[in-house]
Amino acid sequence: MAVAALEVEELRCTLGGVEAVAGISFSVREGPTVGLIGPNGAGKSTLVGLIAGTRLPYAGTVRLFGEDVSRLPAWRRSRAGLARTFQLSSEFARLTVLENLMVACRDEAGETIWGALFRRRRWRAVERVHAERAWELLERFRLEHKANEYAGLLSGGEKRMVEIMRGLMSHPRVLLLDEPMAGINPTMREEIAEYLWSLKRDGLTMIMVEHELGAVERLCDTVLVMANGRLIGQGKYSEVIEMGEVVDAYING
Amino acid sequence: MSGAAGWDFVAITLLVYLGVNLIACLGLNLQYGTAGVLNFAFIVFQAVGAYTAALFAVGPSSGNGGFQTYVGGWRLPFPLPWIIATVAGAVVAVPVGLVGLRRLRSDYQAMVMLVVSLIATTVVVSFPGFLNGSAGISLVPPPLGTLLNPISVGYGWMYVGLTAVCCLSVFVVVAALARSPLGRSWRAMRDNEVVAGAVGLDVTRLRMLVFVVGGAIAALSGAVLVGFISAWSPDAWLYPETFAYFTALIVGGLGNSIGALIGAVLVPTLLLEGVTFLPTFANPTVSLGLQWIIIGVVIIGFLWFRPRGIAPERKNVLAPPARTLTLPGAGHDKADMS
Repeated sequence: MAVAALEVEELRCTLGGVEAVAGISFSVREGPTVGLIGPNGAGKSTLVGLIAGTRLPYAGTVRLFGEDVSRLPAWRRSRAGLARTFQLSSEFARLTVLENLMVACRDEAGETIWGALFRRRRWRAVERVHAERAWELLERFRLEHKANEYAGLLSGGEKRMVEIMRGLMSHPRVLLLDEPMAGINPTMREEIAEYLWSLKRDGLTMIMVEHELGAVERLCDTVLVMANGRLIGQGKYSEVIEMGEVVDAYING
Repeated sequence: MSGAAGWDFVAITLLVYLGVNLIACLGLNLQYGTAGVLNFAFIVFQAVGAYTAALFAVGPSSGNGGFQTYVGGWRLPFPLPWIIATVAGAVVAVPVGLVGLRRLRSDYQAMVMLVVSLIATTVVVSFPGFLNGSAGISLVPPPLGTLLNPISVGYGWMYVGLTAVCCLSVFVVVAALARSPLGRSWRAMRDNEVVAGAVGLDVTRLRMLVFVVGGAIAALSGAVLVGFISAWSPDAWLYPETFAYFTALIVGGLGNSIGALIGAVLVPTLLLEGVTFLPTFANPTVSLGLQWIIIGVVIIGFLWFRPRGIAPERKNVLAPPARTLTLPGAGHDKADMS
């Protein structure tokens, strides 16, 4: 049996005395897109933080392609191939859009004092490759005219796009998306969905927190349902949508 | 001294002070303006450089009739004391950074640094055997003083030249670092630490690097200053001095080396030194206190009305790769119009 892309075991985390994630286990093969839905306060974003390492669990294990990353800081998990976006816009406000993308690429020569000062030709060559990739993404998202704007001055939707692009810059093997469609107008939503669909076709493993059920239905092969820090169901979209909790949270509002 | 030579000495003194302040401002700007690390112990690193340069130039404490006591004491030829001082600044930054920066959020880092500054002065004052206590180390021989006549005007201008070389080197290094991928990572960390970690940046390492480079630059500024005034005591590096440099950066413009230059001219040089030229209108301590009142008012004024300073950080604009220029799409045309 192939090693799971992502495996979460008995993950637990408390926030202000409340157990926000109360023992969650699941595993995701390489390839499919997994939706994570549930009412507000279910602990979805906390779970994403625990997987990405921006939050630390008090118990449990996270494995990335079989490797235990539970004790690794976020930057190491990122370098191991795990990228994430944030629920709230998290652009580097005083970097340009292009810099926001390029900062997610690693460059061994240009990121040491010695290299930055004395191996300029080397890092400039690497920068050109990274810039090329950034422009490619910007063109795909039709944001190339904003390349040299400060990211802090973009609209909410554009910031969201920048975040997804930034996540893709490092060629991740698993992409965690925390509400990629939230606060975005329907046209742009459509564009994001289309783009995510093309990523899915390329075989990128994605885990997506999303309230926009249309997108979940279209994109996700499996859906996990969370409530009160627990996993209360999982299966195909058509199956879980019949569950009482889901109906309460999404249909009865 | 009078007439033309008198003005020469005033000009020399002001220029050397300006140079020292500029070096310091460039170092602090890299730490705070570029990387967002609030180093309220910055002046301590200037002191490390000054004391180290003094110790490696002054000779053993038995010299000069043994009237001062300190640890070590060697007589090395210029420029060794300056080089050792710069390295010492970097070396001292490592333990201070490891304790203060590794596990704390930025506001707490700032508090720790302020405390470090207070501890350092207290230690030096309370252990007179270490660095001659509150009297400080004096009679530090001027660099190249055995080859040239150190009280001549020519020597003074030579010293201005030395200072200028140091300024220029620091300027070049800081500019090169700020423009490199490392500089971009520092700015990303400044804008959002958590997200910086999530995109793969090792924030602790980045902080330590900027702390060490800034520490070395601060130490060099101290070495240049102590060579000129030939003495160094705890009065010269009390914690408020750090705030004079912060004011300079806020006035000049954070994250911009030209801003650091403007700030270094306006705040520590013109403002702080300028106040001493005002006629004494009350008792002397009032005009001394006036310096800090003015500093406070200037900081508040700029933060309210021009928070980006006189010369704000410049945007790093990159041209699209050649490929896209040869195949312009609709988006590009629109971009050219705007």
